[in-house]
Amino acid sequence: MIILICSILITFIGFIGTILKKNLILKMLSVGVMNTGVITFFVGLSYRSGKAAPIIDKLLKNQQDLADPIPQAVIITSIVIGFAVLTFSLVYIMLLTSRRSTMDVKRIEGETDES
Amino acid sequence: MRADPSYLVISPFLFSVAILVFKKHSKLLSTLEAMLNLLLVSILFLEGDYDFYISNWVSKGIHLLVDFNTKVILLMISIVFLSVTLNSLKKDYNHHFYFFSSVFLASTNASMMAYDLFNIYVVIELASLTAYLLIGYKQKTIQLWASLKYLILSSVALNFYLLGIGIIYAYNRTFDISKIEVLPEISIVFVLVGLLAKSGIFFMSMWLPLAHSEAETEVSALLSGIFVKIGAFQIIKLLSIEAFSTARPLISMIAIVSSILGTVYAFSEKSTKKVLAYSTLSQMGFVLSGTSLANILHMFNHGIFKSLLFLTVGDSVENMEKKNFQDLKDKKIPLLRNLTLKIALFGIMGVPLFSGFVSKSLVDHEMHFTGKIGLSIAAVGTVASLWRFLSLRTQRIAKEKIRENIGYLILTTFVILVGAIGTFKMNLSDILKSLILIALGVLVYKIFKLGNISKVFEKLDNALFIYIIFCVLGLIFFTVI
Repeated sequence: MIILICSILITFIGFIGTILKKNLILKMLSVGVMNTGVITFFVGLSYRSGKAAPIIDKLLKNQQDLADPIPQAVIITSIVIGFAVLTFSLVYIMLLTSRRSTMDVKRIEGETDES
Repeated sequence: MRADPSYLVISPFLFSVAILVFKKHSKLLSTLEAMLNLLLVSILFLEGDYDFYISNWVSKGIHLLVDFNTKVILLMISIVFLSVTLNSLKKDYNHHFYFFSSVFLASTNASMMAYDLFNIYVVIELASLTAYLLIGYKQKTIQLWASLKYLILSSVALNFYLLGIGIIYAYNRTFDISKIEVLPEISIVFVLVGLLAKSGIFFMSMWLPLAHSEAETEVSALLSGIFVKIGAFQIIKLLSIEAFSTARPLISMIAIVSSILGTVYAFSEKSTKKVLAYSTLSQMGFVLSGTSLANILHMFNHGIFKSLLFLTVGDSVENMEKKNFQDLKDKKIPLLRNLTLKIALFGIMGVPLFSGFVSKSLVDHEMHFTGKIGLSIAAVGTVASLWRFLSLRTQRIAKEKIRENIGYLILTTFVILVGAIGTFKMNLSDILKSLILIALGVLVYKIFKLGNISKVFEKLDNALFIYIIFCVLGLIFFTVI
């Protein structure tokens, strides 16, 4: 249970980071922190029913003590997607900062409003 | 051939690979793909509903559901995609554009069929990734910024969605929508944050005006015609099941506020394409105000006439340096394009005999009293904000090629067809009501002039902050009810 509460806390720390940070790269890293919190939440979910690896084996005495494989299986997809979004956004940030020579969100936004 | 909905996902993916291999024939391949997609969707209408699982070996497979609502939306997607592709043939798009649009088509088709919470997340994220790339296609600085802003807003919202479905899984041990029984309030709020941010509702998706107005013409049409429907359709899908029904009044309220505020912003806006973007915000309010078939029909109609508006207006302003409406007014537009633009405008304003009138009246029948007043104000605002497009002048060209205007003509056919069939089934009172609303709208357009309204909600930090305000308000709403 404590891992679930901690992971929701990490998610909200990441979310507050996306609001408060003015630097574009730090903003994206905060999104990464948020994603990590969600992944931890799913991992915590799968360990609620047990701690053994979810492989059915005749030698295993206590069949009830298996971890739930479904959240682990699905969250792999989310990790990959998070990686793709992060790398992709860094490419666009690189292009944007080389043209505007700033990473400050406020300044970039101000310039786009004027033009 | 037996109709199978999974072809709708497989064939665009195969075509996307083929486009990368045969780069020189990408235009031909993309046209073939769009036509094949329309054919496959039409075949689906011949048989009943499809309800099946993929890789269902411990009864934990992915649930896919194709019912009548889904078929209507799939038909809309295929029509819009075909006409956008045909319209893009006369321009110099390279194979990257066609590759991204193929993947986009596959993932949107998949997202409409998905009936599994996690599968919805995956396909929405895939569609969003292609949307980021399409928005930044020409790599102008402002396009990059629009794409990046959307990326940050969207990935934060989807993380909320993921947290919400995690909580749902903890209670139900399944992601299958048809098997959900227990729903804690907090998970409903988180799921709705994720989906509303995708569906083009005022306050929740403030990425929309910049992205829609700065993207290329075809991309704007794809975004407004197809992409905002992904989130909206998932919301209607979820609200239709019993466990989610407590959230219906909340969504209806937000939708009506959005439909009014969208028109206010559109009315005061000077930049041509931004007027249409704000109008999308307002029309999505109409779509999400209920969960009945009328709302699905309005989603269909909005996809058709809004992509037609974006194509015709976008083609006209494409080579202009200044983006203000006044500059477009000085320019003359070819006859056929101007005519289709006017038909699309009649559609969106709800003039009888055109498609918008039918669905707007049907949505209106479903609403309670306060909702009716709100949507009537929004309808007046729509007329007032878009009436100026009717004053565009026509330029006479001796010979207009049908080939260059085929995209417009396909969409126009459906605006007129749905409108003509539907209008004969409506009451006289509906026709009178819509005519009165249009007259009021013209009156508002002639009398009032609005200056610039503060765009404070569109700043990135504020748009992110709105998410948390929505979470708090949503929780308060659920505890009060």
